[in-house]
Amino acid sequence: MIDDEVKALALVLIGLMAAVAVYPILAESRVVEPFSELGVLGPNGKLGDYPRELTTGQPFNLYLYVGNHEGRSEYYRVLVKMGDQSSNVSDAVALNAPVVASWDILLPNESNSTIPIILSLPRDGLNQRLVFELHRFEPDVKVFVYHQRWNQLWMNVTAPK
Amino acid sequence: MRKLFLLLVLLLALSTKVVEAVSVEDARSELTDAFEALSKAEVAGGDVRKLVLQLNSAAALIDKGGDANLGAADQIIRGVAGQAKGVEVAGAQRIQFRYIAVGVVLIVLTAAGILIWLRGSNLFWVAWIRYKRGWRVEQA
Repeated sequence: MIDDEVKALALVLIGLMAAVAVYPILAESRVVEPFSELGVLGPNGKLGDYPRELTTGQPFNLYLYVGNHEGRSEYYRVLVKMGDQSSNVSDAVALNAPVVASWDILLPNESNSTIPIILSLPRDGLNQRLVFELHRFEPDVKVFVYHQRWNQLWMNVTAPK
Repeated sequence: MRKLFLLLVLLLALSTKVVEAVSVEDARSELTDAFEALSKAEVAGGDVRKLVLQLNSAAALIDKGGDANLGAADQIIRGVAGQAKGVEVAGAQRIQFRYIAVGVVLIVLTAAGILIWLRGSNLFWVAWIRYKRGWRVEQA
């Protein structure tokens, strides 16, 4: 009967309206693929033109890029460490080396920051690795945890004459 | 008189409260505490975007070092920490209001659905007849 069809149609429309009303509430804070970004830019603020030949203690400029797409505000700490060809660093393991410098960056969700930094290297050597690691503050345990994001620059560092 | 004046100045200088300089470690510790409070407020539904950016500027001052920068950072951090609780409460209220609004909408839609199920046919045909009332049935 046409009455049943009309009723069914009206109920379907009401169901759609209810779904439209409820879905934004359920999906508001949902992040499909949360991730963070770490980048190192050259002295001109672009990829490339990285310094290769340096002397010990010589200051040089770079830029750090950090992006937050984790679905919440984050407190990042970028640690700069110096290693060499034998150093072990990966997504799973942070480099076991002294920290040369560090920078703290706090970002709201879906935001990024590019900051200028000045570094100088404490020791000389060929094929030295300047490793940049991204650590994230975990409020639950109140410590910074290695966030499996890292970059590196290869450099030859000579002692000053 | 002159000696009395000098003595007064000396007493004032000694009684002035010495403001302790903030160390980098203390500033960073306060920064993490303030961020914890903001995280809690964010989980509760508060909008902490501007406060996080303020903490970021404080972090940049701490990285620069120096008493003046650390003092300024300390002031920013204290200001943010003071606002965190209010943001948390406002966020919780906002979420609660939103759930109530959704609940009201669902109740209204459910009532409309029940009404349509019980009286829908009558309402439909009454509306249809009124719309078609000017029509005449003629023999072809």
